[in-house]
Amino acid sequence: MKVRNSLAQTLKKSLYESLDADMLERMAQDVIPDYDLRQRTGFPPNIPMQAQTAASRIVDDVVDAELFLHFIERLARLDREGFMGRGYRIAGLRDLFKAIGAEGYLWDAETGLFMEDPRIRRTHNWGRLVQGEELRLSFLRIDIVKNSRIVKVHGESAARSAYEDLRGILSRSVERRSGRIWSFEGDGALAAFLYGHSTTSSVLAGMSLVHELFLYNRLYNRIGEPLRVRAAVHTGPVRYVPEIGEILKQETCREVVEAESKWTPTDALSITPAVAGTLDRVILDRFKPGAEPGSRALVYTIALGAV
Amino acid sequence: MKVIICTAEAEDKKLASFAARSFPSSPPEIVLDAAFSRVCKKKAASALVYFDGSLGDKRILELAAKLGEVDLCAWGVIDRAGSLPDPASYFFAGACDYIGPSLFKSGLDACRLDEALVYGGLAEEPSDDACEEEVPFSGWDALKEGEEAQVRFCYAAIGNQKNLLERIGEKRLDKLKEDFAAFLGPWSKECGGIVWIKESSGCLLLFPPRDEGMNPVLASFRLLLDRALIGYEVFKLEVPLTFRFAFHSGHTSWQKPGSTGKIVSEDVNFVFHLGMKAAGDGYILASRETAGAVPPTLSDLFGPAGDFEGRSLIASNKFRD
Repeated sequence: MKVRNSLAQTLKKSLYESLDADMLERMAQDVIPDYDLRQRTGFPPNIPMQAQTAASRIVDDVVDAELFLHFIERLARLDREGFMGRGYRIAGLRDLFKAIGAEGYLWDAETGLFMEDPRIRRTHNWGRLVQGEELRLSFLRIDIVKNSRIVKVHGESAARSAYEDLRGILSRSVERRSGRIWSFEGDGALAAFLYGHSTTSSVLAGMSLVHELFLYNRLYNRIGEPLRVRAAVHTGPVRYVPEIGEILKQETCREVVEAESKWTPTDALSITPAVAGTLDRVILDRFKPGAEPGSRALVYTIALGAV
Repeated sequence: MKVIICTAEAEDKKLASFAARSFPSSPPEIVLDAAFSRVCKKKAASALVYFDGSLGDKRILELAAKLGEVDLCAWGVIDRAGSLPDPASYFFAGACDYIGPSLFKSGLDACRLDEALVYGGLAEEPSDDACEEEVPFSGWDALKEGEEAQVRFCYAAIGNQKNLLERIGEKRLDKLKEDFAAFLGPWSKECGGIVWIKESSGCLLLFPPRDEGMNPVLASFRLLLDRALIGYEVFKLEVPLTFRFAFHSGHTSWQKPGSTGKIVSEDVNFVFHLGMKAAGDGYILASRETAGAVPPTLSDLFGPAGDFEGRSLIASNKFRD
């Protein structure tokens, strides 16, 4: 996020009116590990530092480190929860939120994080993830069943057109629930969810995908055979890096790929035990134990039978 | 009625345009020759199949011969360039339709399609002047009070209300019914319809006699498919939600919504009875009169469902939880 000078000045004023230099340094350390205020300002340890000086330096540093939103999120948590049993009020927090909103970012009360306003822009990292940041994400992985055969039988052009349709379906299911498609290759896709109830959102997106594909195959599919997928959802910690290949090597992503390839039947969505534990009963009850031997996954399919 | 067009070319814009012009309410499935040979027994049942002239005379007759083993199937030929050598030979081989260059350019109208279906044994002979009677629907605002209107009725209701009453209580159930009726407003509008009568148990919706926008049976089917998502994301329910739908085609004297207290109509009575007494949760029930409203691509999911008040019914498969 590009931080305007007026917004940085508003934050500086807000900080020195609310916190002393020690507390400001504490907050900065939560977003920039090992942050040393005196080293950065050149102030010797025996001279007391004014909050105004500390605030000015810290704001400049978080802006330089592109951690402005992260710092505001930390302040919002301090304002909401206090620190070590003591309450803190951050003056002008509402005005800061308003100014950030005007820059195209929305506040997600569920996670306490800002995200880009999807009406303005939709980027791969919600306009705010930074390299190395550790987050708990939910992933929806899909695999196109018999992808190579589809290309071989129907030709590259027809297959590409069908995959574009699938991408559109996935995109609608994922993005309306604040998720992002992180990869869409010939054989499958990966979508990530961070905001709101991210595991629930990823599961609902997966269910929606299964439904939409059911209708697509009946109404719009022109390749002469159904386009079929296996989908799976898993949640866990991830260290964010912009290269998707690197993310796919991390444990959480490896597990979602394993759930999809080992435990998920065709035309179905499976969820891992980590996901199942977070779902509301009304959604969880739609899933049944997987039929594969040794499966720990729960599986959702469309159940349609005679009246 | 399901319509399939079998062609040799994958991306044929002229053919796609013809299909869109001729079958605006339910686009036919366009299938390539290679795929059709494999799936024809499964797909062509209860369908009208058009073979595109691009396949060539010999191949058309080969593929048509395969349809002989398929139940309730009829076929025709699209000859957009007028290049096929002997159109009569297709009728000798059992075809029910031939679309030459000028008809390809203008597109089929509903009457022509009906004629082909009747000739192919896929539909019953219509009354003498059924096609002449049909006039385009001019919109709800254009109807005058008391005017007789031909419409498609849909009774839509929250399903399993007894269980919901126990789980969420009377007050929340009443609110849910109100919210559902409000939800049906924009939902029916996408199909050119309106919420006409709101009752405590459900709502009566009206749709134009022909599709204007989305097909209402397809829209209902989609709502049943998405019932878990709608219950959770739209109505914020922590208990399962389902719906019931009953469709019927017929006539009523027109009154604006909110002024419908004195309507006397056999068809209105029938659809209320159908929705309240015969329909069930998780599927669509329809009178035979509405069978034409079922999109061809969903028709294999519908089957006979007995009689009710002297009318034969069809029902969709049921979504199970």
